[in-house]
Amino acid sequence: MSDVLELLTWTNIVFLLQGLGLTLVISALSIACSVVLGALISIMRGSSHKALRGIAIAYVELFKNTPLLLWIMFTFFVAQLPPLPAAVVAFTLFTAASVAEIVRGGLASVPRGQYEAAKSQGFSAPQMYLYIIMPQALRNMVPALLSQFVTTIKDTSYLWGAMALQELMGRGMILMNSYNSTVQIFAIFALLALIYFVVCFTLSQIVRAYQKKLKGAR
Amino acid sequence: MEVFAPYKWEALFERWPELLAAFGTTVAISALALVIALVLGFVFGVFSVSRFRVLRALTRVYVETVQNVPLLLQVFVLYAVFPLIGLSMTTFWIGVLAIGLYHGGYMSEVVRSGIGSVHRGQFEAAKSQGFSPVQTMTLIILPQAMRIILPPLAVQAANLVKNTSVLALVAGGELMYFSNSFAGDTSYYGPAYVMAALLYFVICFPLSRAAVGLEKRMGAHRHVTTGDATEALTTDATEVTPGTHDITGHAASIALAGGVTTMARGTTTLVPARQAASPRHPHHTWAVELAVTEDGVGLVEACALDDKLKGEEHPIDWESFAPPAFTGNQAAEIADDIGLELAQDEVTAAERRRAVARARRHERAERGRSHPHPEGRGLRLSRKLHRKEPRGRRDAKARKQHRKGGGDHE
Repeated sequence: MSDVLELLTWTNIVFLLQGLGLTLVISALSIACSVVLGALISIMRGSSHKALRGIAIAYVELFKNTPLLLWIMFTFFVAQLPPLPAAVVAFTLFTAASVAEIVRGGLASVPRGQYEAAKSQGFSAPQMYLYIIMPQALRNMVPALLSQFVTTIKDTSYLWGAMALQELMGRGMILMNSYNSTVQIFAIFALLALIYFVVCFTLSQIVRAYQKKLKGAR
Repeated sequence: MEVFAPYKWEALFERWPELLAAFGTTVAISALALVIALVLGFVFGVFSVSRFRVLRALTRVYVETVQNVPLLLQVFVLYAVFPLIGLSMTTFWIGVLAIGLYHGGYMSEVVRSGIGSVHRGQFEAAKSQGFSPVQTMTLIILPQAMRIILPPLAVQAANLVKNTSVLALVAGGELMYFSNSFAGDTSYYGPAYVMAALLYFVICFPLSRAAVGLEKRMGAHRHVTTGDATEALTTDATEVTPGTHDITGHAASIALAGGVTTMARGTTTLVPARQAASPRHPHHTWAVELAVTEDGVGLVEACALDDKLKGEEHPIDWESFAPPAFTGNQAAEIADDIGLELAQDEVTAAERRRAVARARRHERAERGRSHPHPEGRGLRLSRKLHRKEPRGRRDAKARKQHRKGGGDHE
């Protein structure tokens, strides 16, 4: 027991929580960027231009059918970006493929009348998307985007193994090096799992609550 | 383009036996993990609708745990923690077990929603016929749920293959690990990762295509929606999973009013048309018998649900079956409920067609106003099965009429 208490010092907890902070920052940045990229792709996909449509479809298929870890390695080793940008770029590229599908669903959920109304009021296409369509679509996309956020948080755990970025998992592993009794290793794993669980579970509960609210609003 | 210089590719291809072995390992781990995931998925999927609270709770704990903790952490637990308590495994089996467990959680959610899509009446019917719970599940419910389950299952299978790549971080000896170590040995990163991407794509692409294909095929099933989905259809068509249910109830009346032919010829369904009170006679609920002929779906007989329950039969004589017409006051009232304007005494087939056309326009306008997806999946599907548009030049007039919503081409 004293082994565990020895582990649970203020310094260690802060150390881990800083890792969690980095995890959340990377995830949030990636989601924000991939919403922009994903929206672009889904608009391309709906475009009347055949080439644009082809590019969008190829993009989605490519990233849907290859592992994330590969793209992390790719941005880090082949494109040789520094760790943090490499991570954000890899996650953005990968997540944008899923987000594109989410955006497509979101855009489809806006009634056609809204498009027509916007056009009739003289909005240009970008203005129409920016001011009229997207704000409404976004509301319906929030649950799916939050689920994607949860997925991204979990996936950031690859970053320590791939490029030694000190996110939550990485900091857990660093702690592991300085404590070596069986109980302590158990405790570190349990702690890591607990932190991930609390964050992800809370977010998924929020998703559920929000979905219910959306349903009720209809 | 130095990253992809030809000599680097040559170096990669020189090590083709290793590459092939690594690819084989990925395939083997995926296949075995898939088996575990499927078994767990179906077992826990069934548990999650069990009437035993303990089983439901167990499923929740399992699903929430695997879904909210990173896969890599779960792999590390098997890799680093289990040996401490004397349970050592090779990385191959760690991969199979961890990935199988992880995706089992996701698959059980898929199975659960599939089971949820089967009409509740099916459970009751099976029970009334003396099926045991296990038989009910395996013989009645799951076969029907399969068409909902299969497409997302294929997506999960593709994700499973992609996720085997985490084993690279515990020296798993599979494709990603080979690429990493080749890249590390030679620093020829470009070819290593492009090759890995290609090989993963080769496995995953057919799986995700299969998912899309299955969805299309399953979606093209002859039935539209309902049962419990009826309610969802009336509030939001997109809430309803296509191809899930036989068309019954209020949805049937809406579909009927919309001129939709969704049932195969010769099908007849007895349904409580409106469980909600009708506006004129709040205490009545209605049973409607729908039949499908070459002219489309029609209301054959309508009577008070009470009569139906009392066992009074209203059989259809297929020999003399005329294009469906409404009969009696009760039929008129149901027609009223579903927005058809009819005279109460007698309705000819021609009048019915005009009424249906009116109702269809009305229905469309209504839907356009109140639903974000005027032609959401449930309804669009049924459109597919709608009477074929007349073809050829000679039929131009008929086609025009058809587009206007004029009903049958006379």
